[in-house]
Amino acid sequence: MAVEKVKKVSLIVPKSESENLLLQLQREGFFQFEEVSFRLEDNEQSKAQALEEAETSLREELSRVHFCLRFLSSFLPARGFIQSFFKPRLQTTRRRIESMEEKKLFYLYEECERLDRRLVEINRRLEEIDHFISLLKPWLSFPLPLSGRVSESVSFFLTTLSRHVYEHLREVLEKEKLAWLELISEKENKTYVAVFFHRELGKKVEKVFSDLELEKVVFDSDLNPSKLSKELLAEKKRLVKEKKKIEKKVQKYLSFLDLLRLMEGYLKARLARVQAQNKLLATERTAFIEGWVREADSKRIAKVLNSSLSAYELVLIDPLPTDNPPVILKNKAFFKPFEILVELYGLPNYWEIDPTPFLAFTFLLFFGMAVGDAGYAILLYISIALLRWWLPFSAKGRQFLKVFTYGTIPSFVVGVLTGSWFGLPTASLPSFLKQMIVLNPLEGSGPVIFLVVTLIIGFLHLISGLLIEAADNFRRGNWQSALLDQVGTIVFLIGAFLYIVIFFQSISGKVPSWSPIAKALLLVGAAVIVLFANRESKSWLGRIGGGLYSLYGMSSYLGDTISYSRLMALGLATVLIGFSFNLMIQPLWGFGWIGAIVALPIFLFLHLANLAINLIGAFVHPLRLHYVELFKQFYEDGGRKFEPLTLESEGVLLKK
Amino acid sequence: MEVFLGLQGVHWVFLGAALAAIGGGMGSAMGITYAAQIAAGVMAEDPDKFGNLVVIVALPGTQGIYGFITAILSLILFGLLGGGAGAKVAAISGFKAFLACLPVAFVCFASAIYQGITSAATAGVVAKKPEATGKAIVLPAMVETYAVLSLIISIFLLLAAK
Repeated sequence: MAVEKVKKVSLIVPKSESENLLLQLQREGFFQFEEVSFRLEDNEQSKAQALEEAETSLREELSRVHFCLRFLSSFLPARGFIQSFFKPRLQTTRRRIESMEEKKLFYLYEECERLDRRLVEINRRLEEIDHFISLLKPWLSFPLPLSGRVSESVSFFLTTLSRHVYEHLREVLEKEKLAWLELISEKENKTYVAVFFHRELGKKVEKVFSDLELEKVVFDSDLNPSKLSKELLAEKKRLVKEKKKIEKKVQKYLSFLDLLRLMEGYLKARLARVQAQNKLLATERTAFIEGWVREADSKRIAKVLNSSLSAYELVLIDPLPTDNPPVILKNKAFFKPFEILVELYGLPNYWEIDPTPFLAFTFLLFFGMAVGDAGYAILLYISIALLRWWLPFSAKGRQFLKVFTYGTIPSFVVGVLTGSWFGLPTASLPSFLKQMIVLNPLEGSGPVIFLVVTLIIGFLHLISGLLIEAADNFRRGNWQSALLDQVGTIVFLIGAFLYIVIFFQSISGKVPSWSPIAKALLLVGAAVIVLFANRESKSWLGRIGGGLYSLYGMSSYLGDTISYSRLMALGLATVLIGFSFNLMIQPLWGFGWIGAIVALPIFLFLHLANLAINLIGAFVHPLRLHYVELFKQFYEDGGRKFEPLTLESEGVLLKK
Repeated sequence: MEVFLGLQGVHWVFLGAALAAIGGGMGSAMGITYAAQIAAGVMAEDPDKFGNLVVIVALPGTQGIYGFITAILSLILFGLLGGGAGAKVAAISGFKAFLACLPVAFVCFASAIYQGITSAATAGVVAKKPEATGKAIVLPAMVETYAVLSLIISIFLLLAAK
């Protein structure tokens, strides 16, 4: 189950034809370009400035396209909550993508940017106006122009004061005959006041104000408040009208959205090519291209080269141990959806085995135990079928749903074997279902047996991880490591496991006849670990010390095994919550068919909610058991995904 | 009526069940709040991440469920559910049931809060490195281990108390 084999491609081609070659390779979509890891000596790499400029201008245009897409999309009718999770992808043909060219939609960019700028301006001004109008409101009855001049000798300014400050100020100012205060309006404890004074006394009045730390209210206008307010309202009306006009115009542009997506796809593909050209190694006449293809595509690349180049030199070799080749997981259709779970953690490196098929089985088993209800399995199956029919899932989304669909099978089986149907009491089940019950996890010794089963499954899971690593070591001819590291550990663990069994048996006074075997396994395993775990050490002291430390490290397997008990907790959680929901609606069933009509939708709703809550746990925890407990035994990630040059991109899908 | 430390058996069971539900529920409410606050911040930047975030935010919710299960289970085991409040519970077994509920009451309370803090940090990973979401989701699940263990112990103690 190794990952798919790839070949390293090294190519020398006429420089003038390299651009066309990249285009041909991109059309075929099976070649991953790689930046050459060495440089030509004393070659300035005559980095064509034109190419760098092309790259910059493509990036700029791409960002303008993104802007237009964002701008126009914000005017699309709001989509439903659930629909909003699904990004539209454009299905198109190669010909349509290639019919695009740079700057073709230049006018549209300009127009979108202009309209957006104008809309921002309008909105800002509208906010300003609303703010002004609310500020003017208390002053509306004030008849004088706001410039603050009444005549040659009399001026005024406006201020807001709290009621008692106003009283106090009036007394002070009017007593000293510095100014007189005119109350314009009053709201709650706040007074809106005009302060009139003779110009010659202006400085003194100011001083009184600044001493009391009072502030003036300033409007930048020569009109009186009511006129100013009217003018602002008129402007607002004008702006709202203009805004509507722009929005109408934008609605017309919405039909360009697909074209913009197409342009985005075109620009991205073009950018990938220009970047590749920018990175390839070139002399005056020739270009050196490096990359990867699947082994299966070896012949295909020669074919493409023959048809698009006048001359070339092609070398195909297996990856060297120093390379980091791209990784392609290759699994049978049934296992394909589970590749996502491996990818979520991180792809295996090229030399590691692909754990997908093994993970598929154990993940499903754990998922089944965590859901653990036959009724819920049916409910989940129906829900997924409805979702798939109702929503346009992406390819990845469909794979995820498949994982859950497969998961319904073990859930159903576990549910039947434990007699769990929507958390209904076992006694109320029909007798043929009762007969199929193997273990009732809530009755008698059921819980203990259930717990022991999860622990045994966990132990076997860990051992199988070690076996996989051992097999992988054998495959690579590393039999020493396989025998001393993995097999030694396995022997020790089995011995330890048997010892624990003996311990529990001895509580009840029985010592099984096979107990010497357990002792032997334990000792042999421990000896191998102590003597060989640290065999690279130079001194014997270091070797034995390191070995003893490794032996101590074996205790982590105990914690790892117990960690699997979560499967029991998750399974019981589903059932018990379902059980208590049933209890809550039980009284309703007592009212004949009317009760049933009311109870049935509530029953479905509550159980769907329970299913949804538990699905999160039933997905995350089995995943964790693989990532943390299992992968620790053998898995090395660090692979990078095979990403060929292609015309497809995030928003654009080619029709097959 | 026979009493132990001043309470009847039924009352001890009620006390234990209530504490389990309170501990788990309060812890989960707090934990989810931590995670949801950060998740909301991430969503303000990129609403499309909702799918990943909702899983992370929901993770500290399990402790509330464990508390709930423990409470229900203790009521079921002593026949106190569904109008069975008249059932007789020996005072000492009631007290044992009360003790049995304590692991969940305490561990779920604390672990939900700390799991919430871990989930909040994980939401940051979703924001900055969406491709690492798969690995990051495992981190809050680490904290939950101890809630799971406390639930299992509480269940076994309850069974023994009966």
